[in-house]
Amino acid sequence: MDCRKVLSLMDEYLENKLPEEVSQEINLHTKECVNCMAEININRVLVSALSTLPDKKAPVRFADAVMNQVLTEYEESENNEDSESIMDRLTAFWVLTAQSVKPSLTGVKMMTRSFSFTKYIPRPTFRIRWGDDRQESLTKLPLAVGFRW
Amino acid sequence: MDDIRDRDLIINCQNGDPSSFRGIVERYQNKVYSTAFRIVGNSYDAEDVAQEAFLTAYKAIDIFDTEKPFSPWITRITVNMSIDFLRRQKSQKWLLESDDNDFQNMSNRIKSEEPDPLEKLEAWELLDMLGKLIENLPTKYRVPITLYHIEDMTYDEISEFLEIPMGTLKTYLYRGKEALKAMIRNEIAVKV
Ligand SMILES: [Zn+2]
Repeated sequence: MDCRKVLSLMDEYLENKLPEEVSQEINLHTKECVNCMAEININRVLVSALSTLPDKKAPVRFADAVMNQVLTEYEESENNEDSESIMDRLTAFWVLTAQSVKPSLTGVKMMTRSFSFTKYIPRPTFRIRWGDDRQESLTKLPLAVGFRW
Repeated sequence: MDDIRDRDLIINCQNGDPSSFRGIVERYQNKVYSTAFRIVGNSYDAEDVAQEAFLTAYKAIDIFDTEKPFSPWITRITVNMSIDFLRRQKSQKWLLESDDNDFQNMSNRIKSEEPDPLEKLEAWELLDMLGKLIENLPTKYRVPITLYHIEDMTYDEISEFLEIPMGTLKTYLYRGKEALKAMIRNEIAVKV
């Protein structure tokens, strides 16, 4: 095996993802080749450092800012029952469209009762029930569909 | 122990006590903020995206399965929203920025140097440098490296998430690490 080949397999080698024979070939090569040996060692150090990188500190009062939004969200969902009818229609339309693409889809349930226009494109969460009892939740609503009710 | 506390807090939220969510935010804020930061690439947007990730988690709290740990769930939401944010910011072409040459030159330049200064670095020095340098990587290297080496996602997951072929992903991971090594070597050279 030549250096080029060894270096191209380095990641998989370090993660023990290579077949035994291939790993052995690399071991043989690095016994003879100091350059590849050094390269592999450095990468091992780098990869393990990346996986232990400490978290950054969230900004001060971050939790306060989130909780403000959470409480607002909670109050809106308590007070605002009207939004449900719009969202129901929107959801129903989305189900129909989605069913024509994925016939195994049997139901979609809106998970958020209120619908606020934040600075982001609104992304309600849906719970999807497929025909075979699998469930999954989605935060992505196809927008082109989502806005035609 | 902490996971049990998470579970109790989440059950409280599900039963209509939103203030219990604060304990969750306080426990995961650094993790969520870091993940967002390493994907979107700056503190200002990271703060927005991290807030939005928690709010999304709260809105979906009713469907959270309290038998499962919270951390992978909030991480997945954060990664999702961060990548969504990048897409909206940079149009669809954000993974194809052409900055290859700079970084290739950078890593070639020192290839033949004799003993590699990187080998002599103490672990804490390396962590310290990496934490800062990773932020300077171009998006297309920073994001795959973050997802693969820091967030522990698989090749399959990432290539699906980023909508890039596996070969391209592996190239970015390789070049990203080469660029990081080059940046670390530069940093050491400047310090000496
Ligand atoms: Zn070699």
